[in-house]
Amino acid sequence: MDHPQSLEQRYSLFWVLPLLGVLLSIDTLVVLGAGGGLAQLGWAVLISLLSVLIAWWIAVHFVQAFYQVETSDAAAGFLFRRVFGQLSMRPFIVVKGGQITLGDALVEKIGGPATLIVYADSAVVLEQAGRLTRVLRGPETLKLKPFERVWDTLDLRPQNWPFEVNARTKDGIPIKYEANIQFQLEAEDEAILKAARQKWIRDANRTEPDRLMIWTKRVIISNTEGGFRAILARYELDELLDFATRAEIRQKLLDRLIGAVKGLGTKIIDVQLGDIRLEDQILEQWIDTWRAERRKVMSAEVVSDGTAKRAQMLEKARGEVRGDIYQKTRTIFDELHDHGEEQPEQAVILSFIEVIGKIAPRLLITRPIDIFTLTDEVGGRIEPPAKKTN
Amino acid sequence: MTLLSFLLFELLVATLLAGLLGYLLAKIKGALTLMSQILVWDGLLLAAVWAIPPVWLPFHYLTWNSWWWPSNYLSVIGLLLEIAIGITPWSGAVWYLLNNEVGAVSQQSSWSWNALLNIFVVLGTLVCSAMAVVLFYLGGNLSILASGLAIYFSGLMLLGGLSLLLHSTAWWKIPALWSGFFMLLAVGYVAAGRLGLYFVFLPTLASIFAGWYFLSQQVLPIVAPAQRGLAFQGFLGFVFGRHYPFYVIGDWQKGEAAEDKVPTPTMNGNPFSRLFTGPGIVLNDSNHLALMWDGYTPRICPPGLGFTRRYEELFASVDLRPQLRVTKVDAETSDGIVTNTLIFMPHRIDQGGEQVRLGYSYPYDPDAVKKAVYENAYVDHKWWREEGLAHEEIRSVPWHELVLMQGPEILKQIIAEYTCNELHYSEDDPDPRVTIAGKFVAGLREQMRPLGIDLIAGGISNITISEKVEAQRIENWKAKWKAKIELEVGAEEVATTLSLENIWAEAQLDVLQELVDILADSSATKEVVAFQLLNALHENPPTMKNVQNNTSDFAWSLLRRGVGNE
Repeated sequence: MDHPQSLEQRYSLFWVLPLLGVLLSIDTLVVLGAGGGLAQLGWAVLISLLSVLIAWWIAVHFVQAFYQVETSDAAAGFLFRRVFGQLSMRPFIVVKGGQITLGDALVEKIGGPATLIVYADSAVVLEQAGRLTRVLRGPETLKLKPFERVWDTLDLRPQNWPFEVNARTKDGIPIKYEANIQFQLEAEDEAILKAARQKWIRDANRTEPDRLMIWTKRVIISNTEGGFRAILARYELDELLDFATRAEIRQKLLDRLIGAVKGLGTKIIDVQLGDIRLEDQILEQWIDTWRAERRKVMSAEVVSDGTAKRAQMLEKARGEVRGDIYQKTRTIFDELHDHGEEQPEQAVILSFIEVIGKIAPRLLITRPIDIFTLTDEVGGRIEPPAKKTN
Repeated sequence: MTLLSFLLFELLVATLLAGLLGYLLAKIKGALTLMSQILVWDGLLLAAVWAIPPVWLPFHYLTWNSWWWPSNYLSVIGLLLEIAIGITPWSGAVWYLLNNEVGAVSQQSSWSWNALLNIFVVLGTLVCSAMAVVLFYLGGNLSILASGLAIYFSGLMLLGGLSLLLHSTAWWKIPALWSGFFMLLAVGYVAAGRLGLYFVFLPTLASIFAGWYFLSQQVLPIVAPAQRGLAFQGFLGFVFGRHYPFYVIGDWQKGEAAEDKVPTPTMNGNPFSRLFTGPGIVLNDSNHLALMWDGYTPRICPPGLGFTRRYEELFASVDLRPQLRVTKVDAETSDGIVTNTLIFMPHRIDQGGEQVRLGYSYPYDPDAVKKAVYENAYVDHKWWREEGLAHEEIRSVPWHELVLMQGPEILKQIIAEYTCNELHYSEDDPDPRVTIAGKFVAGLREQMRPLGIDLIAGGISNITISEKVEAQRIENWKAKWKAKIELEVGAEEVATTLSLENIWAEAQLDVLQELVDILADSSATKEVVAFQLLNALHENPPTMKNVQNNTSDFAWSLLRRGVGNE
């Protein structure tokens, strides 16, 4: 393979100036040999120098037009460096934080000769004349060869990317689950080249940098989103809501990502799961269920601690009242008996009728008309018992 | 030595120079072409002058070794002859260079076509010489300065008009070069007479061409020896303002150029120009190639430096990196439910099994490029009627959108095999989304392979169904939980009842025990016991709500109103 930095370029200083000297010497000899004076010699030298300058100017014009360089000074600078080499650090470009942050636009567009400074947090892949040439990891400062330019820049710093995945559960319920992925590019040349060549190009009408799906987005959007979605689809919503499942899902996602991102030259540092976000009606239902459970617990506490004791006290009091009533009833009946009065039977009958009348509507007992007639008849004949007066 | 003998010597030197230049351009073929041109046409020029009787053209007045000739028509003619012989090797070489592709197996242009410029030079010299003679015999004694100016301005107008006529990319360049050429010639003569023409003008002219050659090698990233000549041709085409379009192709399709089909040339040119035109230059980055097309066959300009030929236009600029295309697909399930899915289709030109490596460009299979980009360049029609008028929009479908033509149909066919419920879960396939994605990728890959496109991955989003279906799914899920709530409530009631019933039972047992104690130590009559029993029945159980606090009065009122008699 021939090389853009050819011999005539490498040793240009050693032959361009002597050649110019030879040309001017010939001019001098010719003019003097032809009997010309200083004026003629001046013309000859002038036209020779002018010719060289015009040739140079046309080449500068070519560089400016062909590479769409903004100014002729910049184009002339490139041509000078190309012919005579880079005499200082300038021009240079700086790659920091995974991107070109400072430098000469011409170097970005055409390439060297120039200086490339790569910070420790970055890596670059270089190309020259349509071929990928080198992978560089920072920190590094080096001279770019002619037409060698930055093809891609990559960020070597660890990345932390929380990403919410829209998924469907096994039972078809839409959920959103956040996964927080921590990852980093492997610090090897082969891994850097892998990551650089895995760049996907999206529709041209997208805005920058959304149009380019670089390795970081590949880790998250291609692998995490798809993988996480596939994992979640294996669980029913109720299983996902179970806290014990969370660790299992995290481990599955971690295992899956570790395998998937190897092709991207990337390593997974950690995976954390965030919150599940559910639709409102699911949340409402979930709250209803939770309330029912809490109510059950609460009710158990109320019954055991309050209601039961209250009922116990109440029943005890009732029992005492009944006992008291019984004693008083017996006393009254004894007194009636002692006075020779025979009213208790009538009181018993009236009470019986009263009980029947009370429970009949509640038990939906339809009393036949003759029974009502009879009871009304009996009731009419019997005087209601006199209210007790103590 | 006479002047004519000296001119013959000059012819010999010019022929050798032409041979050297021709050899540098196209080896033996170029040397023979240029040498034969000089011998034939310059020879004819000299023969024509020789044929004129000395009475009419007394050249013997001019001595070959005198560097300063008198300023008369004879000197003008002599100088014209020397200049013509001196420049024809260069003009022949430049003409040859801009009408033939350097390094081509066969000479593309005919011999006479390659000699056209020198024919004009010789004819121009003859015409100017004849005019000088005629003017002399008409009584005018033309000086060298006057004739020089006349020739310069005539040439300026002629070449300016010709440049405009031929639609040069920069019409002013050829007249400007003519001016520079003439100035160099004039200064050479002024500095040292004829000696200046030989040793100032011609070396400087040679230096300029050498400089252009050298610089042409510096301004382009040449990697192969075969590119050197082409680079010089392209550069000379630029110098003369006559070249095919120049392209510098990088990551161009974005922003304002998003809708463009091909990149804009950095320098415009006419690919159909036949006369005196240099090649086009295409400089691709390592992940682009250019597919050129002359109307008959496509040709690939690979990543790096490439050159275009006559009639070749840029058919497409192909990005060899993976292209990701995404689209939404509405598909119907077998039970008629419409689903909506995003499909992802990352793909690239088939690499022929090669991988991206350092030291090489992005790999590609040339046949795959031609298949994908050229043979399957579909034209997309959009045709509709509106208010009785037909409208049509036509656009070409680039290779990276072919997946958008094929992908949706494949997914529709797959979805149609599933019922709505099966899209999320079935006993046979617990993860149908993954299965569907796998089927989709396999199907699309199969379809794209014959087109030269490699589907490198692929996937689908969630399969979304109409909101009503989703709402029903949520209702189903809720129903399960509602049932659970009912169970919870029932359990709560049971627990409460059980708890309280025990209390009542205990309380009643206490009362019973008390009554038994009372009855045991007293003489209760039957009436007392019966009355107590009825009194107990008279009360409501604690869990029932009384409708009347005074039950006895309520019973009496019911009886009196005759409830139940209706």
